[in-house]
Amino acid sequence: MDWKPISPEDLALKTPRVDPAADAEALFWDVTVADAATNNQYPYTLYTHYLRIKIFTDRGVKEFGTVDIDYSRKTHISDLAARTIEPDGSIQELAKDAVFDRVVVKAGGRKIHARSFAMPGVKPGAIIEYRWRENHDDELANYVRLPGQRDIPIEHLIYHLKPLNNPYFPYRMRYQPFNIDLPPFQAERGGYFTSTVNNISAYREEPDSPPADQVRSWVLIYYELDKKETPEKFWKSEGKRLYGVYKPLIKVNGDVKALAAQITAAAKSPEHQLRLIDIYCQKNIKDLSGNSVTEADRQAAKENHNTADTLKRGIGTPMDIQLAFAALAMASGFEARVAYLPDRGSMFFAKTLMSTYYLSASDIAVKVNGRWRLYDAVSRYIEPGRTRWQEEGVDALITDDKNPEWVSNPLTAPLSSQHQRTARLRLNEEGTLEGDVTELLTGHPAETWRWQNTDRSVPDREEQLRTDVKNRLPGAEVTQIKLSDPTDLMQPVSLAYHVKVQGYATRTGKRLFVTPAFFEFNEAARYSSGDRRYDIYWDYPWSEIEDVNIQTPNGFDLDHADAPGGLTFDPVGSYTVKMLKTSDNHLLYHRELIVGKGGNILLPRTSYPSLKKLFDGIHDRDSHLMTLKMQTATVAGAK
Amino acid sequence: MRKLIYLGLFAAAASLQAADTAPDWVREISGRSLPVYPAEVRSVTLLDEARASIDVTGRTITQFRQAVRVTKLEGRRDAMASIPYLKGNSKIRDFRAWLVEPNGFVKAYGKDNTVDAAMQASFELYDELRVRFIEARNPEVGSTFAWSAELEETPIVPQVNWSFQGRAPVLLSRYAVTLPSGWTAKGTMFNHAAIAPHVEGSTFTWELRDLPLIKKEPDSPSLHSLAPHLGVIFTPPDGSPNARNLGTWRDVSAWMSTLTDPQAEANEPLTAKVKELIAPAKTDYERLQAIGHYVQNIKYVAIEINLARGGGFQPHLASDVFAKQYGDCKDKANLMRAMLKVAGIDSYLVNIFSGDRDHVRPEWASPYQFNHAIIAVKVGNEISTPSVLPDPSIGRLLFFDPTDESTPVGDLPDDEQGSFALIVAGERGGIVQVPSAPPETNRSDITITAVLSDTGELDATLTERNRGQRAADIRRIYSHEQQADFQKQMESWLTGTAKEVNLTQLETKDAFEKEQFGLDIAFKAPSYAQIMQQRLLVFRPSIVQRWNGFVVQTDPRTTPVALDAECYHKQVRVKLPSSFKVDEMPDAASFTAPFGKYSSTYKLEAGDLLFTEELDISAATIPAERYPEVKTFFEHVAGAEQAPLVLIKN
Repeated sequence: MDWKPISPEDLALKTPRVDPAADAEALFWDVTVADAATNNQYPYTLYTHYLRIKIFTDRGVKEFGTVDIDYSRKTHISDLAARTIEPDGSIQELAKDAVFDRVVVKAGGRKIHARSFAMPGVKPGAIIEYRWRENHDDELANYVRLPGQRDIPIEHLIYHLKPLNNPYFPYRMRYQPFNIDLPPFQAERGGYFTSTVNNISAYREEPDSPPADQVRSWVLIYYELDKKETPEKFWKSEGKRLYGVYKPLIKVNGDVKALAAQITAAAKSPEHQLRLIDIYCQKNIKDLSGNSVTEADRQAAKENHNTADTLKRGIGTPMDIQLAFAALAMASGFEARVAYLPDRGSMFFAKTLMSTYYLSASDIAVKVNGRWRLYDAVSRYIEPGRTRWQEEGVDALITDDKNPEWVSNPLTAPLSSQHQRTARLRLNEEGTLEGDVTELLTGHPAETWRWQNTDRSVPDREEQLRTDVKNRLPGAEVTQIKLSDPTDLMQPVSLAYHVKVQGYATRTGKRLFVTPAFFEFNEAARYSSGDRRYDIYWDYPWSEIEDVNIQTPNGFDLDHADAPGGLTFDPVGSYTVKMLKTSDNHLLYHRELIVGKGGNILLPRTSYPSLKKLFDGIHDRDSHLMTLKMQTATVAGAK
Repeated sequence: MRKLIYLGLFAAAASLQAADTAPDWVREISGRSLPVYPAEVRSVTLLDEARASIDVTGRTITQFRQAVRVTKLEGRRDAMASIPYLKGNSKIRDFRAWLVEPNGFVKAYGKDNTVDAAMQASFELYDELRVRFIEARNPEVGSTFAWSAELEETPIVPQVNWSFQGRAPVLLSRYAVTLPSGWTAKGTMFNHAAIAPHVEGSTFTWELRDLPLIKKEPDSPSLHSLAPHLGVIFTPPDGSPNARNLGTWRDVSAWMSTLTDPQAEANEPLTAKVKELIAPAKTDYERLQAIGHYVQNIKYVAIEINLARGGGFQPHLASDVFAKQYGDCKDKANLMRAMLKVAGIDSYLVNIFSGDRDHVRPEWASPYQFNHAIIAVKVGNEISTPSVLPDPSIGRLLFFDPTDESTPVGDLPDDEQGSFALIVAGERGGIVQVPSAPPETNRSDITITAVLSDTGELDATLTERNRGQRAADIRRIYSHEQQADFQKQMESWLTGTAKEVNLTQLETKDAFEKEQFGLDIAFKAPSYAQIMQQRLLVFRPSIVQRWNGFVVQTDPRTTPVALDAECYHKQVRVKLPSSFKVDEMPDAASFTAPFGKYSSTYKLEAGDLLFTEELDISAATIPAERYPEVKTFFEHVAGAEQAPLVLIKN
């Protein structure tokens, strides 16, 4: 492979062409993917990379002056070459002994290698270029992701693809671009097809943005039979095929029926029956992939051939547990199927993406009162009868031998993912606030808490709570902590504690300034950046309800109390605040924030300025101060 | 029922049949009961033992045994065995581990469960140092994880550093060594009272028992400065041909000079470059600055090879580093040395520890104490900066770290100031304490001029002038972030106190050679002051918060507090809305402590509020029992900084 000529314009280039703020830019990134077979018909893929990068700043030297190429045991790296070209055209080649190959990690006969080198003589203004080949044995470029957007802006991204050409291989290479305006591949010499994309900015993360694969550009390449199917026909066929895979594994015999009857004996409704089965599976079947199994369990575990084995042994893989749930549901008279779903936490799915590659999650669909409902018997964090947030708001493929169908698994309402907080506090004349706090979490906030705390010991759960409170209220003393058992999925998560915060209210000579929104005190505004690149996306709809009762100190009166007022931002959400002063010196504060009403969790980037303003407004209201003024007699007395 | 019991017995028998066996010492130790520990203890080291045997060539064979009891879920990660080793120099034999679950079930781990990994830091391109480890997968609480192994190696110098403890409590930690005839061993204890070794024949044994937990606390010294450890120097008899004898710092300096001096030679291109760089300079200091700045901009790349023969202490040839334009700390210091030589300026390589100024202890002459290399430049009396130290045998030395791109000549990174360091100068070299800059050289001056409207909007301009290490701190952030990300950081900083910040100007002023870095900022905050009942306006005159906060700890303190020097002075002038007058103004504050002082003042002048604030902290390590004093001081500072001003409508 030869180096391509460098134009005088590129040598003299002083400012980036794609992103004016870039420290370095790839003038081109040329990627070739060629599938072939050896004479013995063993497949292999040959990747060739060739990059040319212009360095503009010292930061660019630091960031791109060293290169690591990771590869595994079945990959061979060859033809690695690199060089640095100064603006005057002088060239420094990378010496062979300046390339270091190492085994990064070796375990159980498997190795991960890395080949590393530092580009010689790199300074701002220089061009660096390097290229290498990777030969991947025993594989084809099937479901391979080609990155489009990387950590550096790219002026020209060039893909060359060479599908396997073999008369006995009936599949054809396909490609699926994501978030990239990829021109159609054009045939070139030697069986290659090529496409070029220009001016790709670097990928940067932003808070509350859609999943990375939904916003950055990439291309999926894969092989498929040359069938011209409609999405409807394709998914019907896949639904039948998948049904045939798991159906033989579900065994509903007399023992299973007896067990199901025993589990659901106390049930009062079909939903209750399924809830009891769900709880039984979560509590009585150990998940071999989870953290709660012992070495003794692992050594004793055998392969489950069907659901009767799983139920008898009480241990299995996640799929074993899902199928055991299905068997118990069927034994109780329900229709049950395995349902396949996309993961909304990875990317958004459309049925025109005709591949089960995109359906990475699975649940059990059970028909209840004529409608399919989804159950996740494996998750140890979400309450029975609900699915992870990544599986909500998507369509699920219900498998069947005759009529597979797509069924919506809707987003749950904001009120079912709620963080409810209550504080009963007493303020003294020095500004110290002290009292009892309880917090209740339901739905996905509860799921997150359980996920974070299941593998923590009780002292560490308590310490984490202390840390969380102190991050907002430095110097707070948190005592008398009582926390839910994270393995209890039947009840909302409950956190209770006593808190004492010195200097919570600010004291001046004759006033005390207090923030009634105790739970929002010292919270930063949700969005601080003035600009936005991607759409705004929240994982799920949620709500916050706060009730604060502050007993104010004797000798102080509320000075012309005024409430900050609410905000409506239909149809997305609402924010309301109510305040009341009781006759016995209690300040009552109630706050409700509801976000994602009507499933509105994705907002266009263009709405960012108004959304930022809205959340700034909420932050402003949350920081609202109330004034307590010392009674005249007290002031006089103090003097 | 009877049938069920039989089934149960059968299951237990099957389980026992599947279990592995553990050696006697593991079975014995796994049955031991533990004392009562604080709730935060996640695991307990039951045994940590090394038994070494050294031959006349310095070749060392060490038998390791360790056992850990998992006492909390979080302690499961401590059920791991690991042995670092040097590729090509070390041999690991019989590396085995056992997990004994609380019910007595034993799982044995061997070669199939061993992972071998490169032990490479993110800043290294290549390192010969590797690690072999065995990890238990989510062991039950109450399990005991034990392992043993044999390591054969030839250390580069006949010395060892034995840590008796990590953070976890230890029941027994022991280091034993058997020496060849005529050899002696001298141990030095750190962070613990001296202990005499038990000597039996030619075997020396040091051991400690029942060590308590070392808690992780904010602003605490490093674990190395808290946990007991032992440094041992092995000395062969005079005239011993094979083993290296490094008993004093002078010995260490002389040995390291043999590794480093030959590398600091310039070739023709390097000489030409030096001449080009220093051509405009009129003084030695300007020549030093020109060369120092050039070397700072050489890319940092660490390639750790040939470690068994001193590669970890030997820089690459200066001419090679110059040609490739990259190198690690010792390469950069050595390149600078070679360049200064061309300029007619003498200098010395200096070994130091980066990241902890208390790490190096002068009482143990060992090259193992260092992780970094800088340079000491011989300067005349006309040069007087805080980084100059008069050395009685070599003369006036200016210390400089060419790896730190944010600290110019004349200054030193915070964590190196006051540290002990080795000047590598042959027989004249030795250990010195690097100078510390006085707090006022690391200073931030903030001036804010603002107009407050009667709606509470603040229209402000802020100039921040940082000197010394405060300038280096912000330069470091600025040089690592792209402009857009730096702006986001500034917005985030301002929104810490002012809501809805709209940044209208952000300019940086970097005067690198003058050790200054400035920020010119303009911003608007529409609701900075809160308007209450249309008649009161309330706001905090301090406007922005300090960069460095102090984390207040409410539970009892067990470790000392390490304070960094800080000198923070602020002046704020706010034009108040004419339709309001001051109703309540905070009192001026002034308080002092042995480690610092704080004062704030308020004044009205022609409708403007003038607020001043000064905080001066000296670098200090304060014992745990005096923590309440530190806490009270910083609580008062926070109270004064958050004090509001109340305006009332005319």
